[in-house]
Amino acid sequence: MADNNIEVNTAEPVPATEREFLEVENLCKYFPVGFDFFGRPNKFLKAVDGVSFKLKKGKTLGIVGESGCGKTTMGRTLLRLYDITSGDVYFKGQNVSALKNREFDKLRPNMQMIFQDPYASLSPRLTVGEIIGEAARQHKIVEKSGYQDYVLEVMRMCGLQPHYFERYPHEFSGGQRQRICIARALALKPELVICDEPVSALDVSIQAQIINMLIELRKNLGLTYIFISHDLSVVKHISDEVGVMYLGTMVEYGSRDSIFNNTLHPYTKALFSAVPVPNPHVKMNRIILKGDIPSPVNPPSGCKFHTRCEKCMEICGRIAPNYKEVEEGHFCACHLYNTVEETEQLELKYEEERRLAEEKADELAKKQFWKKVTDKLHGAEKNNNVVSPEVEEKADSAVSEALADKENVKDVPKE
Amino acid sequence: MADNNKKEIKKHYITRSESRKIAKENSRAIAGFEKQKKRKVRPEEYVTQMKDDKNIVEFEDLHTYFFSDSGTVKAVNGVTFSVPAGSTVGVVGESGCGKSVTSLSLMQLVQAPSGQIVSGSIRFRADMFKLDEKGKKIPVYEKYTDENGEEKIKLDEKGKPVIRKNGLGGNMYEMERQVVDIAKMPTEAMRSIRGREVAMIFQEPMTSLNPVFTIGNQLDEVGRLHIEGISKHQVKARSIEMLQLVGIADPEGVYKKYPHELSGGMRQRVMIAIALLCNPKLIVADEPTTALDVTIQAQILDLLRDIKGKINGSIMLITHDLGVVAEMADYVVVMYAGRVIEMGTAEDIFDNPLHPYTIGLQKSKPTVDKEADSLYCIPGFVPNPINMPNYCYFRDRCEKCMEKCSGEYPGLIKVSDTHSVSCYLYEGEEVKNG
Amino acid sequence: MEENKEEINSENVTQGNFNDNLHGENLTERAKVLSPGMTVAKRFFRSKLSVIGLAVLIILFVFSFLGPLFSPWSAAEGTVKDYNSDLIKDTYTVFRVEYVGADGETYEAYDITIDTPDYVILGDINGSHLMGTDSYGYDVFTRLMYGGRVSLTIGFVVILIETLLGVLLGGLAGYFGKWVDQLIMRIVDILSCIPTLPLMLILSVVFTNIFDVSKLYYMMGILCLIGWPGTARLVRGQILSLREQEFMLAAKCSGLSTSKKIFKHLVPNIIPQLIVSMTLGLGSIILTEATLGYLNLGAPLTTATWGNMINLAAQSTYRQYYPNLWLGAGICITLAILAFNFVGDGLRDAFDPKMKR
Repeated sequence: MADNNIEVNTAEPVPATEREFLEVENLCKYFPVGFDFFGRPNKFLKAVDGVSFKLKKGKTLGIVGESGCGKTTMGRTLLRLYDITSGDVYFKGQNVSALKNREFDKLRPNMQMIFQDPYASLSPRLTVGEIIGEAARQHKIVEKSGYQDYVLEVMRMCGLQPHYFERYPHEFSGGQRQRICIARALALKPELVICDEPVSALDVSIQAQIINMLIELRKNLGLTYIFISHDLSVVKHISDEVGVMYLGTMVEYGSRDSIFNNTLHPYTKALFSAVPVPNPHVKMNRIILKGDIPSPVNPPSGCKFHTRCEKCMEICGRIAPNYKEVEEGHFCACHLYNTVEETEQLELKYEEERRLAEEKADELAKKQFWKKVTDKLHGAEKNNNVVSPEVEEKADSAVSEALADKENVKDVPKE
Repeated sequence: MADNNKKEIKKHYITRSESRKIAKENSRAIAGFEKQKKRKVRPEEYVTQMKDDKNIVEFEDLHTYFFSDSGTVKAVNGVTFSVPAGSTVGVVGESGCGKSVTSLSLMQLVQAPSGQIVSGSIRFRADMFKLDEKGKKIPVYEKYTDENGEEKIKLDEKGKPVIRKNGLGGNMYEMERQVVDIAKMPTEAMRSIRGREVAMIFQEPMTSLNPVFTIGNQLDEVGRLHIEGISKHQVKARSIEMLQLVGIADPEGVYKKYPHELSGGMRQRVMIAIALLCNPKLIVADEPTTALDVTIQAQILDLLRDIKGKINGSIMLITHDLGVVAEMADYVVVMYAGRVIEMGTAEDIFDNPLHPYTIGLQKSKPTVDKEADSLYCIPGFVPNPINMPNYCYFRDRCEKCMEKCSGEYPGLIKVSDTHSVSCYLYEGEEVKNG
Repeated sequence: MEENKEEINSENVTQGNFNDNLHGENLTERAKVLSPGMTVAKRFFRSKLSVIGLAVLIILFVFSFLGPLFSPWSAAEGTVKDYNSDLIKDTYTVFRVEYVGADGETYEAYDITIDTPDYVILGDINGSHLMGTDSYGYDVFTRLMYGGRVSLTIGFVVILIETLLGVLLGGLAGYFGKWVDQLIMRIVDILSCIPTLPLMLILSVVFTNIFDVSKLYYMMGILCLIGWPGTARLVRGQILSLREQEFMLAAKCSGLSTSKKIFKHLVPNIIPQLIVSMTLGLGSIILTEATLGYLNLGAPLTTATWGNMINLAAQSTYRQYYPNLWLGAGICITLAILAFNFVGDGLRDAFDPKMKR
């Protein structure tokens, strides 16, 4: 019996060696936002809804999207700062999403994060040296004797002066604080670093310094980055692969060149055209998106982007597009790139689903109708099963008919 | 190592005696300025003349200092530029360069008592109310010609004279066009300019609306304050009209909503609607799109451009984003550490940047259509403008630094009619007949 | 990994380094800043009330901790003295008036005047007893000093224990949430339901038979029990909001242990609030101690506290005629509470980073 189990387990997943450095499969993160009477969640905010990608070691994946598209949540869920709702994350072939919290804590040094706000992400009551070295000491990355030298070395690597060691973070400007954050991440000798908008809170001249430093460090330490940003120009500069997210799903994914030179998805196109160019002579033909990003609690049906899309077709409002490989290595989720067969297939699938849904609805209505009718016949005044007005009406007429029949029946013997 | 560190840290902090000295100087300086503010100012003292009649605002040698515990922060240190009527002027610079403080000085909103306008002038051309001897506004009455051909003031049922209504539905008063110096103006008089003549749009749409009042409430409040004699009905109509003007699809619905029910972009639109309510001549937009997404930013910029044409006013756009400036501005002012280092038309600045800082800024911004392996970057950090020495503030970060740069701070050199720069590199290239 | 790091050690990778080798002094480094301690001190001393408060506190401390060293008397030394015997009875003067009324009859009228004699109301004040002696013959002035010692010490011990308990339990509740939070906070709720004054009245009856110092310890225990829920609530609230901060995410990200996260990242951040609540709490503990003393629940007579000195005012004779026995303690209590509150307010403003002025 036991042997059987083992066999089943090993046969299913892809062997570790065949996996890429980082693989994410169908990652979902839902936050409960509505609760029923018993405190069970019944409404969810789908911050990340089925994101998949693969990343090779030493490469950089840029994630772009507007605020509220779930890019930050995705980064944090990857590192299990939030609990994963469903989906798998394979890091160096190991399914880290299945690990217990305590086991995962041991892996944490390998996967580090640089946060967006250099002001909020540094503990205000610790010295710079302590902030950087604390975790390295706990994970025994460095010997106790060489501790200070090690921290100073990491600080120097990140462009921090040695006498900052005993100072407090509030004495520094945003750029220097971000260097401290980077030093804290690098002190753990990570292999994967998730950079969550590391430069968006910084001044322009400092942004360039930090970006250059990140690129330099990647080259020297062989780091792999996931670079999350809303700034397309920065993403283009630093990334090898780019993913565009909208309302929790990946709408386009591909190598940098294919995304920037051969943009497929209308949302990506709109994003690109919205970036202001520092050249007064370029009067761009803007694609100005209408309205705001819809609430992820209540996303639009069909393609989530169809409410703002200028190429919206009839099908977009009904059917969610497939996320598929349009060119080699270039994925896109848009009906514009469907072949005829695919559209047909989708339509068929949609019809099937709708039929099923209708059947279900019919069944429900039937159930409700009979319940209502029996309720009414039994004269239950307080019936709390709320139904649609049509059902109510139907039930009413049925009941009155039945009652009329009854009276007729009663009347007969009298005569 | 440790001893050395301690010494370095000590060098970084202010000693007790220094701190005492700073505190003494601060309290003296602040007391002086506050006294000046409290005394009564006659209108003659702040009414001046424009240097150039085409301008709507002229800043001249403006100094705004903050007397902080760690020393005097010269946030604005001798800024001179002007906003021509009907144009958009972009003020660019990094954080701490004094661009926001310049705009706050214009509104007299610098955080007193530690922040004070120390010297210089801000000339603004405003439509001021004409005042009679008692200091009251003079209303314009509705007149009619009676059967004898005499002009008479119309009276209402109660026998009171009827005041004529202006375009916004408020009472009409006699106005006069005056050039006022905001730096010397008393707060009382400033109140009639703020919001009515100059309106401000702030960076954070999330926090600049009061969360406990509806959008309509907040719009109406501004309307009632500045448009005297306007009826409740008219105020509401005006508010809804403004909401419509800023591209809100359902103005009546939004009128009844609370700020938290709106998205960031919508709130910024509401802020713009509030700013537009009294037909201001000048809109000061302090980083209006920084907190917004690119797609929403594009919408808002589009709107601002559109609005400018509609109300026939000027915009002073304060931002750190060169792209936004290039897209919006006719004139650009580049600031660094409290000083203007370069200014000119947008073409001047973007096609032919002269100051090494401007050049560096433009080069260090990655763009979508440019390919580069390594970004150019300006070394060092933005200086904290405390105890600045008298040499070019950019000297330490400048790659074209010369021996001369250790000398006095360079003045603005006019290299063409519209373009001036403050750098020794261009000494001798001056145009004399500017 | 290790090798890679070695490589870059040899060359400077970051381009954002200072140019300070070129020019010696650097503009960024030129601006000196106030050290964190100094910033707080500056803000604190800006408010005049808090400076006054601090001065009063120092005087009180010197008075009660160093003062007894210079006193020739001890806290319980003297002979029993009956103050009541010193009292002189009031004298009554009666005037009798005779007069003839309208009806022709003669009437008598009495006018009684109560003559209050010149009492020596301040007891035995002389050169060696600055504030006189009490009914046991103890020197009141010396007792005032010793009383300060005990009262202030009780205050400090109680507030320390209370805060420790509060931080520990509040911290656990705030950090772990869920059932831990439920359990601890319900205990807090129950404890704060107990009405303080009736509880004390009952206890004062229970403890009437205890005459030694242990009474003092019981009192301290009760004070701690009453006090810690407040601190726990404060700590929990603070930790709940701090827990969501990005630096806590960063701490989680680097895999720090839970105890480090709580005691190194969270608790240091609430120390300013704790100091403020402790200072303000000290005043109220001294006040409660006085109340307990007044209710006879305080220390035994041989141990002087401000509380049991003021207890004498409960007897009308002393209250009316011998203010020297209790007025000093009353003034000391008032001063101490005011001073602690002023200092607490000053500290709160000084620690608040949002306070510009």
